[in-house]
Amino acid sequence: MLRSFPSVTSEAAPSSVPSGPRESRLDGRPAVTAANLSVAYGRVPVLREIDLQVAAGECVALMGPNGAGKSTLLGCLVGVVRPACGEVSLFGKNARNRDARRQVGFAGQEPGLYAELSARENLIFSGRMYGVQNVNQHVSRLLEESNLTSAADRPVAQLSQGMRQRVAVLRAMVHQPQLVVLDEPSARLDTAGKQWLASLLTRCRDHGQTVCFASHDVAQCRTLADRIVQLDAGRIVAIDPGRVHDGDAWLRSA
Amino acid sequence: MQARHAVQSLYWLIRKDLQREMRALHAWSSMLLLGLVLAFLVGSQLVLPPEQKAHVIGGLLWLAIFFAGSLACEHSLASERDAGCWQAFALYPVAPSLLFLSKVITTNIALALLELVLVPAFVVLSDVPLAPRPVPLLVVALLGNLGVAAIGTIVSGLTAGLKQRSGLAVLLLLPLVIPVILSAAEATRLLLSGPLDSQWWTWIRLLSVFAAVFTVVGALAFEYVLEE
Amino acid sequence: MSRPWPVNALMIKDPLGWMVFSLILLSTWLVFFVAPTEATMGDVQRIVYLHVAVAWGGLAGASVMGCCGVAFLIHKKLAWDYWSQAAGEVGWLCATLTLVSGSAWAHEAWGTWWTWEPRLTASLVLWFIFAGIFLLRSAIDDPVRRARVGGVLALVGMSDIPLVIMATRWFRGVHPVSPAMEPRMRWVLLVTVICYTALFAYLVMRRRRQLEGMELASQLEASAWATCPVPHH
Repeated sequence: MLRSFPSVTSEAAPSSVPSGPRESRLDGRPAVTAANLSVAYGRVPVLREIDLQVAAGECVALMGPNGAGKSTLLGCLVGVVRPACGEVSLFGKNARNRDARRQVGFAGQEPGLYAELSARENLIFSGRMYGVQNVNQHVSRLLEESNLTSAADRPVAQLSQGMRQRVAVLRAMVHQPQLVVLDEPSARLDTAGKQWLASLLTRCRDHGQTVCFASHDVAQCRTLADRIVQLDAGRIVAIDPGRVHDGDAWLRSA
Repeated sequence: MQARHAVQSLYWLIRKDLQREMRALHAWSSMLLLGLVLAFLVGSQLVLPPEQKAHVIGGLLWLAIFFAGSLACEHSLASERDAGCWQAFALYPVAPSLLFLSKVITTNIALALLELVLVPAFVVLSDVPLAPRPVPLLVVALLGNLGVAAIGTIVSGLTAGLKQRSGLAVLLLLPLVIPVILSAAEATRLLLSGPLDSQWWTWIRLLSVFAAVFTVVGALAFEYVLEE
Repeated sequence: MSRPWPVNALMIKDPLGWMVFSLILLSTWLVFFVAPTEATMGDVQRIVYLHVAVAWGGLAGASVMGCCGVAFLIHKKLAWDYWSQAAGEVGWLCATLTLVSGSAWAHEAWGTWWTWEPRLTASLVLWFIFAGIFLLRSAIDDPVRRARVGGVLALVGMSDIPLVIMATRWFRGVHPVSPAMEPRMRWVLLVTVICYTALFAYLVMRRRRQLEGMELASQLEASAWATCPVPHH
């Protein structure tokens, strides 16, 4: 089933009337449950006994210094990294389960795009792998909404870093996943790109999609995330409330 | 529905690989070029009377094919890793055996392409009558390719993330495919030297068993190959 | 230098090691003094006893390596990988000795160091596969990843060996079947094989313990390194 997004480029004001799916975040059903997660790369422990729950519809930011384990934790959540011990479940299923994977969109630190293919071909291929219906029209619409139409048919190798990053984020969302996991999505984006990302993530929330992302940008995490998880040396050291702007004050009181 | 999605995914995976190869010609063209260089070297060194030539040419042909083809084998999954697409590739909600199958089929296409170039090159440069029996030769080639592609895909997946991978991949691959090289070489020698007897069929059986065993083993083990 | 000879001290306290040592002495005595001298080849024939024992060790090592590798893939316990690697290494050593002793025997029996005799060819291929697997393993630092790669390759190699044996058997026609032996020779051969099997098993056990110890030591080192107090909490 496809939902049509409203235009991304028109600033979707957060104060607009909250739509239906938004309520779903309040029912408390966990989208992601990580229990007692430990990971070691080689002999170096990267994550130690992480416990994390993300409610459906919630937006969680991961912050922390380089090497804190952000990318590894995100990798565990989507199932590309197998934890040494502990377990991750997505919507009540094991993260490595194929049905669970269908519900997940992931953009890692590598863009995950084939350089020889165009942006459009990359998105269409990914959509087909996830069994998206009417994939051509859907991808055209996505590209149009992100102002990428002019670059869409050039090989990805010829795109700028920022453009590639935008396409990579779109690739993770092409199948409208219930859970969107992005590893430093704003790393290679300029100011306009960050605004674009913010409106995209805001819309994901409005549609009740769960979002987890890693970032070094404090301001961005404050405005976008419901919770900010601080990681250091493989442990969760603090969980801060995010989203300080007034438009969503009703949510925190709920 | 599940089966239809699987078949469609297989089609799109193979199409994607072929599209990539067509646009960035370096991998398959270096394979073809290596094949041609080997054909030239064999042709220039093989100064023998025709009947003796027919006796050794099968082995040399398959040696050239597997040497050059090992480049395509090694490339099959290294290409995902180099493009930074390994994680995305491993996460698609299709069975690992299907991903394996798509790579095996792509590698088979590469090997078939290589043979289309190499067999005529051997005929021209070494002057051996490989042409009179195209159908048995085709059987040998198809079965041999399938076995080599299956093992090659597994090895490529295991070595893809390593720095020293290209040397290692070939070093691992060639001993493992020795049964294929022996059978294909013997079968070719037999079909050049006389009627297809029971001995020929023995070699064909071995080629089929090899192809079947490693397609199954690869499909089962590919889940572990894909893990980070 | 409070403990000048730790290695020797360890060996003296190892009763299993002494038992294996005496078994090897026993088999050596049997081979050289009990087994009759062969009529045509003379004393050179005594190589066969060692040759059969190491050939068996090579095959057994490969099988144990394969089975333990697969067990690792199923259970994800590094302990299986230690067994797999230890058995593989001893198996590889045996495969090397098989080639050397077989070659020496062939030089006397057939007048050539090497022929494309099926069993020779098969053991050479087995040796190449072993070598490739260990080369690849040595290129990987992460023990879990190394174990996984080793497991998959052990599975692939194990499926390959029967095909190698079939292909080489049919490759150049006939192969010698096990010849008729004098009963005393057969009996010595059996005892030798058993004694050497005990030696291989002992080596595998020692090597496994060593691998486990090395892994534990580096884990301790890494965790000591990584648990340095984080400054701001």
